[in-house]
Order: sequence, then structure tokens, then C-alpha cells
Amino acid sequence: MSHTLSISTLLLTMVMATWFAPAQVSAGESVTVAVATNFHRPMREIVTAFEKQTGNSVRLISGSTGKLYAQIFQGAPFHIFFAADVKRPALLESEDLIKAGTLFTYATGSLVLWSPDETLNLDDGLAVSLNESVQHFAVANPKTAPYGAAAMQALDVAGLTEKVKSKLIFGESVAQAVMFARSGNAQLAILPASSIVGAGGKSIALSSGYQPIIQQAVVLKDAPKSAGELVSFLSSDSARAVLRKYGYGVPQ
Amino acid sequence: MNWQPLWLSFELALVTMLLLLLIATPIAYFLAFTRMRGRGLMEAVFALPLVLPPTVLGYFVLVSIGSRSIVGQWYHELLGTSFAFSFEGMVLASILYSLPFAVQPMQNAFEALDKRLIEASRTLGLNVWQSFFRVLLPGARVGVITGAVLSFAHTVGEFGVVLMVGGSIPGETRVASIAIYEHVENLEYAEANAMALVLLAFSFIVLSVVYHYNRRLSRLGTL
Amino acid sequence: MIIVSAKKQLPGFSLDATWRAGREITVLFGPSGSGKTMLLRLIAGLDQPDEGRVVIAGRVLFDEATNLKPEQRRVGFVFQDYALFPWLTVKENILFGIPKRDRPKRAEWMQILETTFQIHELLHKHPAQLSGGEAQRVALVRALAPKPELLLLDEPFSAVHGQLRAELRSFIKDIQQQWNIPVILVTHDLTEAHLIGDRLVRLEAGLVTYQGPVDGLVKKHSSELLAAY
Repeated sequence: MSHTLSISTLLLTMVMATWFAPAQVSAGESVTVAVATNFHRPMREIVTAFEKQTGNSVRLISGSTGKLYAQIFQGAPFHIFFAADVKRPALLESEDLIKAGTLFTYATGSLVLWSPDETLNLDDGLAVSLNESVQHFAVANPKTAPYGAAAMQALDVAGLTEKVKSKLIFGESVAQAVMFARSGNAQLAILPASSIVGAGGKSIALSSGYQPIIQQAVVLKDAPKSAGELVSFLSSDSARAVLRKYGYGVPQ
Repeated sequence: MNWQPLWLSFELALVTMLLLLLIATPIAYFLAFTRMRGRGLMEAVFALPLVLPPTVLGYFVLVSIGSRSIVGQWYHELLGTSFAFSFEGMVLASILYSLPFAVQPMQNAFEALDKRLIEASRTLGLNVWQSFFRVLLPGARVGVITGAVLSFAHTVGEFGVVLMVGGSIPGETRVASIAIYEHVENLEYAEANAMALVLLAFSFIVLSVVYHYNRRLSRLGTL
Repeated sequence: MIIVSAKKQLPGFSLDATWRAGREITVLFGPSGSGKTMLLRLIAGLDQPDEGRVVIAGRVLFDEATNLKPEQRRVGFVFQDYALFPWLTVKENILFGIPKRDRPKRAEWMQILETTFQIHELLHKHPAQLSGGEAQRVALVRALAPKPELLLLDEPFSAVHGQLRAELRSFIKDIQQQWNIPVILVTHDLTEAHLIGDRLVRLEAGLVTYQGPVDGLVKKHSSELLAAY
């Protein structure tokens, strides 16, 4: 009986402790931003600058475009959605879930060919994938990631798809493809330019063979005023500098 | 290091475990003692979360309690907040996700318990309820504890389900497993490792303590 | 004072037994599979007959209109493998049938235990630490604690041999006399039946083939029985 008593007391104490545990500062006037994974790092830098300049607070949530869209459709409490494509923002607009007229292009993405091995010669571009030393070639899943679809497009145009099919490994997301490459499990990868910033290795930009990836954003209903301020901030010089740093094309 | 996701994971696991103890015990009792013919089917239903991919389960829960669902709307009317993308929503998802981990050890322990112990209790004057609390539960103590611990540990490690249903909102639904994954995504391997290590160490300590205690109990002849 | 009449269809055979017993030691005797243990369970309420009547001292435990739950029957049961609660001490096992709130009764029993039943040294042990004979005594005392109106013993001699058997026999006899409680015990051992029983009820394939004084059976069919058993 005393065992039961002491265990119950312990459990009760634990529950009470978690109840009073450091709670998050309540949202208040903060903006909740959902951003596609590939844009997370640049967004973080932009948001930090924004918070410093305006004193607004921002909550940043990243995920795959498809999942974020599904969550917004089911009522997720986001205020701005930065997608990695045009399809999902368009869908949200047609479903009347956005503030009218807030759909805009915030960046255009480009691809790079990347190898964790600095000494690898990439002058031949995509054809390097035919080398014997390249056993695994990582891209993001073309069905779910726009950057994956673009990568496959580039391979098609270069006439390499059939030849390297057996080497291809598909990351569930861009992040996973990046992981394959950075861990050395893939000797070569086609990745968004932004994902390899600060990662070392060897890369060359792929400038042709695919549709540039237009990334659009929408402001959702119920968004506070500060959401509009953040959108405007994207046109600022500092924000644009961040975009360029991460290899994104800046919209006019 | 940001301790919030760790606190959240701990809270979620604890609340889920306590609720599961209340929910799984009658289910395990029913499955162990019912003589109904459809028992195998019912066991399969309660074991479903084991085979469903977590994101699928998470998606179904999201659709069921999201802002477009009857449940979600009713919840919002009643309490003013949304069921999905909240701690409570994650608790619901975790309960479903970890249910088999609570039910099965308990059910096994109930079934393995010598029925004569309960009969002895009845002949000594205790009714079914009293026998449940004074014989079945203490006798199956190890199974009950195992069920509790497994649901706790399983919930700590949960990822796909809580990500889908919770939305990874910092301070509210961004649990440790999600936070670690996001660190990795952002190439912040040092932070990811640190958090993962803490999570691992904590889980390891909890599990060893409980399994040690369980071992001592089973020497006393309980299941 | 005890009337048992039970019909039950079981896979393999039918039980159809009617018999009586008094405030004495009655032995239910017969080969294994004859339905003896089932009868005990029916009396205790752990199983139900298809039809029948169970009455103890005028109190109906079972008939067409009544089916008392085991906890209402005031019938003590000592199982063949004792069914002691392994996680409780001997003392906690014995006091199990007495509600915790009932302190006077619990104190009374503690007194009796200290003086009467020779299990004083065992009180703080756990069942796993007891010998077979000790466990059996504990099981007996546990069944007696709630002061039942009838005591049932299922094959008490099966695990006990030699000197311990004699001790067990006198233990049961003492209990029956001191407490003036009717005892029904099941055995397939004729010698034990003869040594301990006042009355004998013989069962064969679910039917009562004899009931009466223990001596009567032995005298009637002595050679035949001794050969068979």
C-alpha cells in the first residue's frame, strides 16, 4: 500500500512540475510563418533582422510544402506560408483561405550539382554521374519536392536519366537528399543551391535544363498586421542580400 | 541548449502514459476475459496503430479533429481553441499511436495470471471489482508497469504523428524529436547531437530503473 | 444440513448428483474425472449447474430463483495448489478475507494465529518461501478467517506424504471440531477417506453410487474396492 502511495505522489509531483514548467511566452502579436524546408535557413536570417528592426516577434515553422499545405487546409494557425512551388499557393487561393491579393513570388530557386568530395572535378557537369566512382546519386523525390522534379528534368534534358537510373537514390525531402550527400552515402547530388551554403564540398551551378523553380507565398486569413510588415521587409536590401547569399534569384 | 522541446516531450509522454493507463486497462481486461467470438478481430483493431505508418495515422487524426471536422468545430465552440495543432491534439494522437504498447503487455499479464487467485479472492468474500483491484492489478503489476513504460518511451520517440497533428509550433507542439530533426535539416549537427544525447540518456535512465524494479517484482511471483 | 443437487452437461460426461452432508467431515470420493472437483466448484459458486439446488443450513445458495455470487456464499475453498497470493506475506494472505476496516476482527485473528495454528514463525514470509505443508496450512487458515459456514478442500492429500499426511489429517479434524464447521473434502485416496471421513459420498462418472457412513462402504465392498484402488 505504501508503494502505491509513494508512486502516486511521485507521479503527481511530476505532473505538477510539467504544468508549471517554463512556459512559452504567449503568442500575442507574433506572426507565425510556415516555410518550405529549403527556404528555412535564409528565412531565419531574414526573420532575425526583421525582429531586430521592428520589434515584432516571429514564430518560424518549417516543413515540406505538401505537408504544410495539408495542415493549413485543416486549420493550422499559420499566418504566412512560403511554399516551394506555385501549385500549393494557387490551391489555397482557389479555396479562399488567403487574404485577397497577397499571393506573390518571393524567390526563384536554382539547382547545383554537389559532391562531398572537394577534389572531384565537376567540369563535365551532369556527365560526371557516369563515372564509376559515383555509386549513388541523390536527388529529392520528384513527386513531392519541386526541386526533385527539376533535378529529374535536368537529367532528362541531358539525356542521362536512363543511364544513371540505377544509381539514383531519392530523399523523401530536400533535407534528406542533402543528408545522403553530406554523409558521403551519395557521391553526387543535385540539390537546391541554398542547401549547400556552408557545407563545403565541391559544387557547380546548373543553369539550364529545367524550369526555374518559382517559389510563391501567401498571407493567410486571420494574419495580424505585422504579417504585412514582414512581407514588405522581404523587398528590403538586407533581405535581398540574404536571398542572394543562399543562391536564390530575387524577384523584381 | 533549448530545453523547451525536451520539457514538451516529457510532458506529452507523461500525460499520454497516465491517460493510457486508464484507457488501456479496461480494454486489456476485456480482451483477456471476454468469451465473445469476434475477439481476434477486436484484438486486430486495437493493434492497428502498430502497422499504420505514423504519418498516415497522423493524417487521419488531423482530418478527424481539424477545423473542417465535426469534432474540431465542436471542440472550438466548447473551448475556444482548436483541437488540432495543440498539445491536447497531440495527446489524442499519442494515445492512439501508443495504445497497442499499453494494451498488449497488460492483456498478456492478465491472461497469464492464475485464474484461481481470482477465484480464491471471490470465495474469501471479495466481489469482482474488489478482486480486480486487490488481485488482478497487483498480480499483473509487472505487465501494467511494462505497458505504462512502453507507452511513455514510445511517445517520447514519436515523430511523424505529432508532426502532422501538432504542426511543430515552438513552445506548444514542437517536441524534442521534431526539434532534433529540424536541427539536422538546418545542418546544425552539434545542437542535434546535444539534444539527442539528453533524450537518449533520460530515456535510458527511466527504462533501466523501471525494468530493474520490474525484475524485483517478478521475483515476488507477480506477472 | 447441506443439500446438494446438481445436473450439469459437460463435454465428455454428464453430472447428475444429489447428496447430503452434516456438520461433519464428508469425503467426496471417486476416480479422477468423476466430477468431484466440479461439485465443489458448484457449491462455491465458481461454476453454475444447468439445474439444481444448493442449500446450507436452510440458506439457499442456488436454485431456480437464486444464484448467489461466490462472495455472498460464505463458503471457504482450499484449492489443490493453494492459490496463495505470491506478492503478499503469509499474514496478509490470511487476513485477506477480513475487510481492512474491521480492526477488531483482524486483531482477533492475529491472536488466534499466534496461539493456535503453529504458523507464527511463517507470518512474515512470502508463499514462495514456504514448504508444501506450510503453504497448505496457510491456505486452510486463510479460508477460515472470514468464518465461513462450510469449508471445501480439493484434494488436500495429493501433494503430501508420510508423516505430513497424519499431521494434516489431525489438523483438519481439529479445525472441524473446534469450529464446528462442516467440511467437504475431495480425494481419490480410499485410505485417507477412511481415516478422515465421517461420511462418504462416492461418485462414479458423474453419478452418486453411495452415500453414508464411511465404514459402510468399506464393509460392503471391501475386497472389490481395495483391489481397484
